[in-house]
Amino acid sequence: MSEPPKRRPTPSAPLRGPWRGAPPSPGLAMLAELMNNHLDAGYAAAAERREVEQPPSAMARRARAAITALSLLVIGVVLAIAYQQTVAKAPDAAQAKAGLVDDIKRRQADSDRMQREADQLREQVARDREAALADSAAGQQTAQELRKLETVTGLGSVTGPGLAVTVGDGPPPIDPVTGEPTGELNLAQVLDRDLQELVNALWRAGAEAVAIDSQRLTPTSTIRLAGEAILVDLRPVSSPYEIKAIGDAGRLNERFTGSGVARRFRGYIQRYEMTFQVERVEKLALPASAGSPLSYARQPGAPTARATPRPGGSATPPSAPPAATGGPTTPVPSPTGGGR
Amino acid sequence: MIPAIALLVGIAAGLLIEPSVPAALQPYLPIAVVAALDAVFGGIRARLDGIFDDKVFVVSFVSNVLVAGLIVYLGDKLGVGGQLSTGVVVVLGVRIFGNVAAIRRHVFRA
Repeated sequence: MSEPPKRRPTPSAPLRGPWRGAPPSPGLAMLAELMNNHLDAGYAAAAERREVEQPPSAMARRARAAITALSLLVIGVVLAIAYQQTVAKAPDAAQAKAGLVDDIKRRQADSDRMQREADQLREQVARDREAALADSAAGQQTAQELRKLETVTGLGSVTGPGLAVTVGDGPPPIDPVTGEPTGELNLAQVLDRDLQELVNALWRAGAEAVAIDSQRLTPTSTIRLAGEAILVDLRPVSSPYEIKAIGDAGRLNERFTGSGVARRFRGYIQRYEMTFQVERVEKLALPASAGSPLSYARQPGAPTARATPRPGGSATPPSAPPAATGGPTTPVPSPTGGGR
Repeated sequence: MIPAIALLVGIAAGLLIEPSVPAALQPYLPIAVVAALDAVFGGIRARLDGIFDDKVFVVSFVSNVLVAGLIVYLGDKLGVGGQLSTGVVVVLGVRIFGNVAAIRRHVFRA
């Protein structure tokens, strides 16, 4: 396929409409060309050429018609392929995604079911233990001590009055032209550090038990950012984050709302349109923590301590999350007991 | 007549055979479609204007597809593929609209 013979420079189209009489400008000429001359100039040139030249032989005409038919055949195939790609292939991607979503939901349901099972078993253990200890005075005292310890370590569920603190992300930055999120860093996003500071402020205000989105915090709990999500003890929580704290509601409210952290977050409402609410609640119920694997204390420097196997090794998962990764965020509260 | 039949046969063949496009060529498919449509509508308009020419049609189709593909390829390499694709689609889209309007005037006299 050779290039068509050298074409005479096409005379620029006479300017029409509001462009008439405008001073020549290269951009304007280009726009006028684009808006007015839609047909390939080659057709007109070829028509002119046909008038002066000999008509081509029948053979050549047929060959050209065949080439035209062939290219239209190719165009048809291209259109069909494009249809296949956009319409027929789209369900594939959607299906794969739906499959993955299903998979995630199934696994989540599995994990929730196992969590409930573990809670039930833990309750049963607690009941059996109470029953076994109820016989003697010494046993009762031990049971009471155990309950106290369970409260402060987050191993037992607790109910009582307290505070519900809700903090949520502000709207993401919006591109003023398109109205779409720009994908820039959202300064109004709640970070792991924010949650850590709020929780620590609650502990400082006298909270006896704290949970984020129904995830009970223990003295070794971690709150950290993993990509976009915040993980509390390796389970994701999402905005708006509801932090519940049990304690002397009046004192807790007074001391927490007066704290520097709460003041700062009230400022964020104005500045970043983040949400921040503190509410006194008469009766809160916090679940027991999902359970951290038991580990025995050992004396520093004791030579054989390292070799001590984890007790009940088969029952506890070997993947004890190192508590140090995100930094323990919760100082051990004073074991004041109450709040059960 | 024959070209119209050829187009329909091509569409039918493409739908029945379902040829697979190499992954490397897939980004150019939308551009190729727009360039092909431009060539087809330009050809129809030329036909109605009475100045259709087989050679011009074939050459303009092939060169349109190649140039559009080349522009997008270069754009991809330079990191402005999206913008250049938009440019190609705008230019060819304006031409398609203009040619379809001319065809409409021919067919409906309006």
